[in-house]
Amino acid sequence: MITANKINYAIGDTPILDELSVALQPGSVTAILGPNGAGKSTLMKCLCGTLQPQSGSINIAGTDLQTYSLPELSRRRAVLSQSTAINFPFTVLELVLMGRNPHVNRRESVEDNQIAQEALDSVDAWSLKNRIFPTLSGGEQQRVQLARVLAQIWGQKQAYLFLDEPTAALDLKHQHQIFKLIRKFSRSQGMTVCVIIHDPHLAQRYCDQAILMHNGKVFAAGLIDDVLSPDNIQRVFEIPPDWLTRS
Amino acid sequence: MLARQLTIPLPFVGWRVSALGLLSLMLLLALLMAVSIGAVYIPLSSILVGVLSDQQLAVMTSIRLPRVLLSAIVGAALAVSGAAMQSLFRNPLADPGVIGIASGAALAVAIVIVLAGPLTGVLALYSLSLAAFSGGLVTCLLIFRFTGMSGTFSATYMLLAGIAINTVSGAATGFLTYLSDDQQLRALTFWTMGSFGGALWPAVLVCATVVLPATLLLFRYARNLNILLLGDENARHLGVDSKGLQRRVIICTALTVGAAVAVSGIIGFVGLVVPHLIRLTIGPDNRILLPASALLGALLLVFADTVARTIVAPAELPVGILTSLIGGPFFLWLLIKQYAGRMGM
Repeated sequence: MITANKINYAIGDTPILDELSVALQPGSVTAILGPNGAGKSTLMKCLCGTLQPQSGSINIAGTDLQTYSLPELSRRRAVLSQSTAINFPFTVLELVLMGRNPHVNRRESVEDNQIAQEALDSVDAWSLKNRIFPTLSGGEQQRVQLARVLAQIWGQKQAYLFLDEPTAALDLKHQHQIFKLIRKFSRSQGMTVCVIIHDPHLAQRYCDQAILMHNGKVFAAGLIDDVLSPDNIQRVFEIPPDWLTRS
Repeated sequence: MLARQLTIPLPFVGWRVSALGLLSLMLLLALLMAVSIGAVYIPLSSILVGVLSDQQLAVMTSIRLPRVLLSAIVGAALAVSGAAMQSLFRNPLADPGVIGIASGAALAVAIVIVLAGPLTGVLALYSLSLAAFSGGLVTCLLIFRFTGMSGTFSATYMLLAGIAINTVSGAATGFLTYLSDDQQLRALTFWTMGSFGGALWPAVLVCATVVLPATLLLFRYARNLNILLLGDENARHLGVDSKGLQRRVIICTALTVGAAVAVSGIIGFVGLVVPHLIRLTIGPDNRILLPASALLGALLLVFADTVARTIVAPAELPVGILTSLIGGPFFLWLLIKQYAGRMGM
């Protein structure tokens, strides 16, 4: 379980997160939703330890996030963030194997290799295994990066998975496939999953909990169906009611 | 779970390791050939059997051997630092010469030559190396800061910063040339062209004691350098302290480039061409790329220096001119290729 208690984060004088408190439950998928600039990415970066909030505390399994070492954290917590372009001709399999880095001593074992291949297969990218990564399409690259992130915590009990818009570049089939997979992992391995997502329909279908953010604050949090009520969505996203229905 | 799993061997093992063996063998042959060829011909068979005239022995031990070894060490140093720098900047165009680190180091050495006069001996060479290291370090940090400022490591910023630094160091070195007397002038000119002429054992000793430890350290960082290519943040998520790693790699590359520049001047494009050839043939994994680059860099420069000192005999060509002649067009080709790739051509 991850809890954030009254965290504040500001850039200069502009507050990005304002006295914000949230909790992520093990074995469930939590969606973070909100308009652009609401502070979703900043919240996720604080929760996974990339950014340190200026005040307030974040606990993972009852222990302060700051007391974990980088390698310790990396064996249990994986993050899919906006990716840096890769200018070197690594194969897809080599890239996914990089996800095993926290578990590797000198070089990857046969087991690491097997995990990398299973992870690739799970995101429907098995056929890409020998392709050169930079030559893949955007959607293919996203799936391979996701496989790398999954390989990092493959088979770990009580792991934490953070995903920043994991399906942004994916077609419909793969959007649903990826979310089914994420939900399966959270159920079967007691994984705590936190995902930033823009599509309320997709969120409602695959996530258990939701955090709806507005101007650096939690507008509503709890079970997904309660949080994503038409009323809440209209107020946070400032859209007229008929935009949500087909009319 | 699936029958088709485990069909691929691990990327690290197998023929990639044997490629290292092959490169080592080729380097050994090149070293032997280079010792054999020259104004005084020393037959390979005599070297191997150990039957040499006094003259041959003297030429071999006090002239040829130090020169050949020095060119090998400098070649390895330049190639490894080029490969490491390319991971650091996440760009295959990064090269100690192109982005101005070599010229920053050269400027520092030029200052020492002009202010302190011609230097000889081991201690003097160490002080030149130290000066070159400081110059290289300052330029490397400067470019790294400048390139990272935009948030992403853009090749444009890196190359533009390199142009600016090359221009400034060029001007400053020019000014020093203007100030210097005839003897200093000659030393400066030949030295900036890059040459192994007059290489003696002290240079080999100084260069080896700096380059070897720094190179071995870089080999140790190889796996984390792979991870660094995923980006600063992603590397941290995978347990790699990116800031610390970047700092250590900058220091190691500045040390190797500094030592190379101090003993041989500016020898361009080795750091660009060699890692690229290795990536094309063996692959981009730094655990193989770094040692393979060291071997091929040594091989290439031993070969180039042998050509440089025999092609216009009895005179000799500065080897830096030769490498730039080949490396310049190669760099252009790389630039065009990268641009074409981005444009989807």
